[in-house]
Amino acid sequence: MKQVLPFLIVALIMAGLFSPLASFFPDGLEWAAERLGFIDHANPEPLLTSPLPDYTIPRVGDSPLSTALAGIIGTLICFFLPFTLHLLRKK
Amino acid sequence: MHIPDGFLDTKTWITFTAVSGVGLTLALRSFKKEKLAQRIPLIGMTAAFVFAAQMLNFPIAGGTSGHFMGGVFACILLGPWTGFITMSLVLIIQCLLFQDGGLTALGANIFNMGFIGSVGGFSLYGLFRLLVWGDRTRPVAYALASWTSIMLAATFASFQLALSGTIDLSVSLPTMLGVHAVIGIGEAAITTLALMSIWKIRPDLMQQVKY
Repeated sequence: MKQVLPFLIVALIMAGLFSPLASFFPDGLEWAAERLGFIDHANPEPLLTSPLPDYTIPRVGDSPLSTALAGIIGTLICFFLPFTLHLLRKK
Repeated sequence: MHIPDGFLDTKTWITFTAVSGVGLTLALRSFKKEKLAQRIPLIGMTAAFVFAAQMLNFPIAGGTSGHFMGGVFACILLGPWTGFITMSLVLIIQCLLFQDGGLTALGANIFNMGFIGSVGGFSLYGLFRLLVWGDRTRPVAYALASWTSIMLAATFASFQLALSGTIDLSVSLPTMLGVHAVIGIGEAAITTLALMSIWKIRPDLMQQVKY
């Protein structure tokens, strides 16, 4: 646990400080879909409403702070979920 | 490269949900129980790093952006099967909690990025390590394998879109490979930089896995 802590901190800095600076341009697949005209195949409404859609916290609104908080939450969940799953499995 | 809901037709998404489900079940069985406990922190660290780095879209030419995928990175740190499971975990969290990638496309996304881009890219890493000897050329193998992993994942995404009747392969493949050839340069740079940093700071983390 102690040995990986510095790397968790690096991940938290990336998700918490740098994520609001990330590019808002469409990614490779979206860009190809727009260019080649199949973007309208995408469902207008997602099948599942996620608690933190598009890496924002709805209650905080669509702001850099919202993205940063969502990033920190996601990073912590990714870090701790393997521990939780392992504990549940052992029982 | 997360496929949203609607891009894949029913037969395609059901097929890839089944394939990825079976693949994950087999990979979970291959876990060696006695060794697992001490590897959990490294798995959590890799998942956290991949998730955080995937948020950092970098702009590339022509009003488009790319982001890190991390499949080769995860497999080199954890070994191929644990890498596959860890990537799948990140993709599941992104889909369920952040609406990144459609629920119906989750199986296809796990197949493309969690399996093809990870285990496939990692196999190429093995091949490149045979071709380039010694630790000095290690970064070359990292870079080549991670760039190719993006191209492989983009190819399979194009196949699935064609299978769904969404867009012809002859139309989508050149565009998808063209844009991802550039994104792959970012993937190669981040993978190489991250792995070389870990190699410098904590070489013991990278020697935990024998593959």
